Amino acid sequence: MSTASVLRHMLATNQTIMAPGVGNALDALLSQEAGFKAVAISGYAVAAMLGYPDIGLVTMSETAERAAEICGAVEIPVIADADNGYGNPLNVARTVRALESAGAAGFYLEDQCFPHRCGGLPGVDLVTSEEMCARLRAALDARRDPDTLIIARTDAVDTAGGFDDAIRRVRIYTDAGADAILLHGLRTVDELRTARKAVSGPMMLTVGSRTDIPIETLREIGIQIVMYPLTLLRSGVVAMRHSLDELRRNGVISHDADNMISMPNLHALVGVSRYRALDERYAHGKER
Amino acid sequence: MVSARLQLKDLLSKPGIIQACGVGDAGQAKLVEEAGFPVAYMSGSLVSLTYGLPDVGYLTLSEMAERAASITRRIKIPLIADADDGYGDAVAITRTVQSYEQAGVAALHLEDEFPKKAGSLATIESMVAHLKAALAARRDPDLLIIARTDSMRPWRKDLGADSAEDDCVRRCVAYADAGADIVMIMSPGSEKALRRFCREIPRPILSSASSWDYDPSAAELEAIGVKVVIYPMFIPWKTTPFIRASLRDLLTAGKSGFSQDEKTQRGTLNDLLGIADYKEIQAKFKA
Repeated sequence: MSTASVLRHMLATNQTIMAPGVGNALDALLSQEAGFKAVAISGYAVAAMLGYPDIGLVTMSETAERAAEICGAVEIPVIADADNGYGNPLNVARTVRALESAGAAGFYLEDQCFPHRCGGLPGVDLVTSEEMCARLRAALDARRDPDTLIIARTDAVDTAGGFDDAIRRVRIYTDAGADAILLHGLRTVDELRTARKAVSGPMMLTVGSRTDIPIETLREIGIQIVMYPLTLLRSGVVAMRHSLDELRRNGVISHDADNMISMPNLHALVGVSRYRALDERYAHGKER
Repeated sequence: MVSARLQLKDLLSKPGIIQACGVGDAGQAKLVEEAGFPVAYMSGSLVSLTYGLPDVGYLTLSEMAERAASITRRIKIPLIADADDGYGDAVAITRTVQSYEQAGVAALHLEDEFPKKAGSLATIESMVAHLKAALAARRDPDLLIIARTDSMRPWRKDLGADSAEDDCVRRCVAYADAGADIVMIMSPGSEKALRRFCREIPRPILSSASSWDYDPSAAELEAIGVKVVIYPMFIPWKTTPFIRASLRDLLTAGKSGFSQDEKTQRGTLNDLLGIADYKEIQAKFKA
């Protein structure tokens, strides 16, 4: 069963999916190990791991390559970040094919101009809903697996058009064939309830410091996919800074279990035993 | 061994036209170098061809930069690289220039056809902003920035009362003022126009041989005043008919049917790719 059909099944059975935001394969391995049923790629995290701010510097091919690395590392569905599609409808088609080939179960595609900016930063400009529909049509056409989930994201909430324009847009995107919608920038329970009543179909939401709503509430409201884009990155940075500080101040670092993962545990996380088993099985050219 | 960038600057400072053949990958680049070309040219069309794609803006900055790096690693002659419109805004252009610089290119060209809108070019101000961002981004002052103009293209609808020629001169002078090291003019249209450009634009002029309806010789272009001529699609245009015919023959005959000359050349491929170096390393560092 493809991860896309697994994802569809989860949605069809009304599950509320908590998807940690990941920037690389290790993030995804940790999320899977922790018991999460899906992950979603955060373009912000991917950019950060390349040393860039999230302002459209990461290319489509780098995004697709990273998606392939992530999808290759885990068995759970991966929702990829397709940004604004990286250009015109032709580019969108290439993006979709690349993400599908990479193994993504779905992706979210936004109505921002090219180049893309992080939704929380100033300077976000949108394309018209007609142009976004052209992107969606290209995406739908390029999709080879009908189960691949196409999520239309609008960034309208944080622009002059605001909430009303966002609702208007996602209705148009749903009519155009989007499988799910994401209103980026919705913050309060009230806004979420209103949006939930106004749109049909699965809704995805990103939860961060400005939209800090517990999962039980989101489940009750009817949000189906909840992504935590920067949880791993932000908490990881705190832990990493702590360690770097300690090392610089003390000239030595504590290897206690509460400070650091043990080597056996780390080996297990990155799958050493799996590879060792393969090695033993196929050693000396003989399958045992 | 003089660096590739200094080699290019040296060639530009001496008299004589520079012929740069288009390449899409390192293998082609080695053939071009072997043939004696002083400079290679990484053509976006050719790189797209190696991806099986038409040249309509599919390839990303990172794909192009990676390809440029794979080429410069294997040749000693300088590489001029196609950087399209810089792949985005001034921020993206910064990354483009730094990536191409890191990839070892000797020069790159940025064009004034953006955003890709049928019939029109960017304003002079926008293109100048791009060039300034590019120049600010380079760390090695020997990396050359080429301003490409599509002002003479027949599909333009944004000229108003101006003549394309006047617009071209105005643009190229502005690009030169902004600091572009070389100016590249697509489809100059006529020898007369090209002579005017070579006279009035205070920078070396680069022309693409495929921009012409006829087949100007390098000597003719040199006499007009052109400094660099590129042949972007020469390799596929020359070889595709032969490849097609050969493939048909292979399928029909069921045999390769190599001629003696082809067999001989086959044997030289590994030499071209530098097998001797590898054998030397292997022998030298045997345990």
